[in-house]
Amino acid sequence: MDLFLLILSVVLAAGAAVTARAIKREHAATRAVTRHSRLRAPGRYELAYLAGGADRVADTAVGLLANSGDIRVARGGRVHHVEGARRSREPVEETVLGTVATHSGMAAGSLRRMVARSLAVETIEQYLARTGMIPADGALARAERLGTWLGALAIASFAGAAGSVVLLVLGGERLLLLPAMLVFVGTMVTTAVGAWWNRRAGRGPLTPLGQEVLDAARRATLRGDADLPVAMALYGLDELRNPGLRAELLGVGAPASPSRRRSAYSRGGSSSGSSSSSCGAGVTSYSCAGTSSRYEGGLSSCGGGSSSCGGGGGCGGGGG
Amino acid sequence: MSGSKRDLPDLGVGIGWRAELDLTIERMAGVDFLEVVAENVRPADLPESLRVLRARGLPVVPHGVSLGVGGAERPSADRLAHLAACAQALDSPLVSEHLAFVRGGGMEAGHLLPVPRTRWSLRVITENVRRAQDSLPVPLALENVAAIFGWPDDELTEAEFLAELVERTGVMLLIDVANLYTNQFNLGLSAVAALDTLPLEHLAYVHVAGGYEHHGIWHDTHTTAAPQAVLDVLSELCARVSPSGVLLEWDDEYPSDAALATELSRIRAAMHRVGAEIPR
Repeated sequence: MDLFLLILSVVLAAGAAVTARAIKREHAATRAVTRHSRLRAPGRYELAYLAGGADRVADTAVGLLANSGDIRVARGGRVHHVEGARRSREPVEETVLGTVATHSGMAAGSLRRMVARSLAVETIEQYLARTGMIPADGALARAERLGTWLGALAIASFAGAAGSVVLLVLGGERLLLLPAMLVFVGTMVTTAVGAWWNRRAGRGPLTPLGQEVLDAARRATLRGDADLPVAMALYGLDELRNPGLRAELLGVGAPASPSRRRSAYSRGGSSSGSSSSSCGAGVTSYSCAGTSSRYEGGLSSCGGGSSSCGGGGGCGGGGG
Repeated sequence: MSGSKRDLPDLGVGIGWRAELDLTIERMAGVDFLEVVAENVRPADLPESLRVLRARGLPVVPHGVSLGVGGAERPSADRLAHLAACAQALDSPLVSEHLAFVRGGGMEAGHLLPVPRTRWSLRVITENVRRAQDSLPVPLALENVAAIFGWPDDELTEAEFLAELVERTGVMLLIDVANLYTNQFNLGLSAVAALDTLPLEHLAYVHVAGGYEHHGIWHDTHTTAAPQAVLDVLSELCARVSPSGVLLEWDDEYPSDAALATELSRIRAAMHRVGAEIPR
């Protein structure tokens, strides 16, 4: 039994050494990909991802487009389409513009969540993973499995150390049990520390390269820097200089206008009386535009400009 | 309550307040006054933006769209009370509505329809306007509407009808030059002739808006920049009288802040460019 424990302690120690080396290789491999496949200096949205993940990317795109007037933010944090807004070459910005065009009047928070889950942001994530600035999905999966195995070895070593102590007390062979106990304890300590390190190293959102790139960008662009796109990417919506815009996008502005909460008064494009016109999208305020305006019963009445009525044909009546 | 132009403060150039544009309007330079669709606000719970803008001293005119003074039925006491409450909550210098037929026999027309312009209907509408004026704490201004048809037994033009109405009630006028243009385009009714007939000394303020032509019909949609022809009518009006205020209406498909500011500049330019030649 004493000899068996000694052999077992050596086997566990060897297993721990092999596992630890494998884990180290896994982490090293993640960093190695990085150094070799780095393609270009990161853009603002890649920096945004490094600084705050998908949410920061969405915040940056929404904030910049609102600041440039390509989308319109109203009180209550409602984001509206701007007719004739420019096209953007940035896929994330195109996603924001497209989403707002089809859901004009949506809450800023919902918009940011939709954009954060968009294909454009996923593409940024994939690029950063490919270039080694963030761990690729599953890149450390093997390291995680090995970490679990390391934990199991630590438990087994603890049990072996405890068994050795018991046998020593019962008068076992000291020459075999003492070395076994020492090896068990050593294995237990190193495997426990290794498992902890492995978990910690795998937890960070950035690889060392990603952190290095982010730190360099933050050294180059401080809070309040004139380069708003990069400053917003690195530090978030707080960088917006328009206080009204900042408050609404951060959700600390005044509540929405009653007129927006009151659907009875607010119909977006509508069909006109008896004669047709299908109308689209989400206008929230009530109007009495032109030849295709609508008038309903009750206090609310005449609603919806005809703008969302496609070609405007078929709308009867008059307007004011 | 009747009124004349001299009773009004100088309103300047304004824009229709819409919830979508609240922050835009708050930061936009060159906006002197506002108009808000009365049915879109609750006097007891005004939008924060309107409170902010009022605190800056900008006059806000409640603009009703559902009163229906052009109908055979008397104006609803509730609607009048709402208009009055809006005027009081906003400390408005006046309220405005449309000279329009909007409901009858319990049916809502769904549109701001032209009124039958006969002597008989003039008597009915005169009484409606008087009742409205009696219920309001500030002067009432009535707006000419855009139409794509006229009633077969009309005895008066819209301008003649409004002139008679002004004479009988002292009601003020809100002249929508885009509506004058629409009626000229769709019905062949000369905008200049209308301006010649309207009692412009009772003009409260002016509306300007854009629209588009589709299949030979002009749609006054309030969704585009005003065409030059509409601004020419404005210039023509300004050659006759100096309006207290001119207001841009934009109701959907809102453009950038810059585009709206440009539109206000175009209006200012048109106000100072008198003598524009437009077909009669």
